[in-house]
Amino acid sequence: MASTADLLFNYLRDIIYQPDKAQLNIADLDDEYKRVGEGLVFLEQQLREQRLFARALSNGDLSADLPSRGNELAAPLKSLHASLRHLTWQTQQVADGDYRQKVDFMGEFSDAFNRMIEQLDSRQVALETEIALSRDKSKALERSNKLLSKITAGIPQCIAVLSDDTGKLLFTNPAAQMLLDGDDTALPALMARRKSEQSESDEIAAVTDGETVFYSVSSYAVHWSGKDATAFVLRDISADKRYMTELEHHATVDSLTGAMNRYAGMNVLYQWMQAERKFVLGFADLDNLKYVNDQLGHSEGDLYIIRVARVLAGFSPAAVVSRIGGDEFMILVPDIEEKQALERLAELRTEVIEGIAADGCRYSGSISYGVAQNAPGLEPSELLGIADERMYRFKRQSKLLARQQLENTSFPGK
Amino acid sequence: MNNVFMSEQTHNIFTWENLGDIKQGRGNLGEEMPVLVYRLMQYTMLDVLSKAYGSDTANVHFRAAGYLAGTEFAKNTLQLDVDFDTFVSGLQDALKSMKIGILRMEAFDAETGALTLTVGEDLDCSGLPVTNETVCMYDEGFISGILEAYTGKKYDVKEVDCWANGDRVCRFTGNVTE
Repeated sequence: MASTADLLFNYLRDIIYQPDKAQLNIADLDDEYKRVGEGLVFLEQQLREQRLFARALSNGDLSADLPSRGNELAAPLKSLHASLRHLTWQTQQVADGDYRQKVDFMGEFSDAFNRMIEQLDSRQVALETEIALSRDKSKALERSNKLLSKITAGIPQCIAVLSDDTGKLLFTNPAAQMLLDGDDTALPALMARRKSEQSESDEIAAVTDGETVFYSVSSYAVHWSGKDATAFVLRDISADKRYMTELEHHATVDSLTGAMNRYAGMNVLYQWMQAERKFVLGFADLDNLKYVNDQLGHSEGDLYIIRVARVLAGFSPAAVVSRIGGDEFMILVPDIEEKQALERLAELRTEVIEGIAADGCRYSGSISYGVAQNAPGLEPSELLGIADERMYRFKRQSKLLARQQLENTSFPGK
Repeated sequence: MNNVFMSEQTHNIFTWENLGDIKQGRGNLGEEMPVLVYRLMQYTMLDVLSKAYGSDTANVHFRAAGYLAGTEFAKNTLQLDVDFDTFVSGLQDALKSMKIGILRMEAFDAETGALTLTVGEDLDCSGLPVTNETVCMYDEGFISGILEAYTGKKYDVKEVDCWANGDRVCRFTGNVTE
């Protein structure tokens, strides 16, 4: 049988190294050591509780059974347990948005935790400030929009705001509403122009009361009622367009005859020569205009010019007729030979002569003409010069012929 | 003849006002005193009551005194018309600034009102020798009085664990009884 000393020693060793097997039968001890044995058994129980509790804590189990009330050895662990439970509660509070929580019992961890809470708090405050500012801005924007609505209600320009995402109309002033109500094509035209910011270079046409009206379109990226949007300002430019058309007409048309003026006719000549087109340039000059002006007045002279212009305009559908001087016309005829041009001009000359006679005019009128075929390497001035020279030759021959006819008429017996 | 100018109040019936103007009354010594003196009064009183009426009865009266103190403390020093988190925060600050103890909330069930909390460096018991007794009856009453003043509901507060080390911490559970 083991001695009391061995029993106590083995029991103490098992408490440390094999706690699950540690067992001591007090009755086996000598009487004088029984009290020591009872103390060791109490120590073993205290240590077992402490060990189990420490193991639960190390596993993160904060709901484990606590060591008994009188267990002094486990007191620091209990204190740690209480701190961890409180920390858990504090963290839950923080998660719910309570940033007043402060940890003051866990050394460096407390500093880190408290700093984290302060940062969360700061961010929360910053976020709330930002939200408040944003809300203020939205309110200000709303007020501005109301003011804008009031202002735009009274102006003639059409103002419409469309959502960038959906194309839905967010705002229209009365003028825009009237436009959109009257023409189904206007809204799709605006929808196609969303998300673009441009000046008044764009325009659309809409039909209002059966009449086509042109609008310039300006678009602007805006933020409207919390949405990205495009604001359109439409201005009626129909009158402007009519004025521009008139200006263009005056710039290119001879006001007396309705034919092209010199500027427009020369432009066509330069373009055709630059494009190396095949064409014939005809030069026609009114005969006897000075006589008509001097003897019958300029009004009659003007009528004479108009008459010739109308006849020349009938050269062919493709011919371009322009008045390039007081009594001079230029005829540009594409894809034709000189011979054909001369034959057609001869027909027109006869038409002029016969027309004047048929209308009982108190003068005799006719035209002289010359033609020149365009050829590679020729300059516009050279081509004009050739036709001009031939026209004058024609005129001289005509005058000579006329004089001979007159002499033959005056002196028939000669 | 009676002195008609004297108040009919007696110090045997507690009122917050009868605590007096300590600042004025203790112009030189100030409003604070050692914890030792507080405990000297508390535990001598417990001794006398226990000997006169038995320990159980003495404990019942001690708890009732704590309840009265907690109720008056809450009504006169705490903000009670706030949400629970704000109330706890205010209670922690008040207990700490008056050096009653360090309150730490461990759990709170918003539905049932049940809670678990600890009080560290407790005024009543931190540093007491271990005797395997529950000694925080006064604290139990004090905490239940505070909770009732805030919630309007009766609370049964029990000290479930009380232990000693350098930083004595007591753990209490509280449950609504009605």
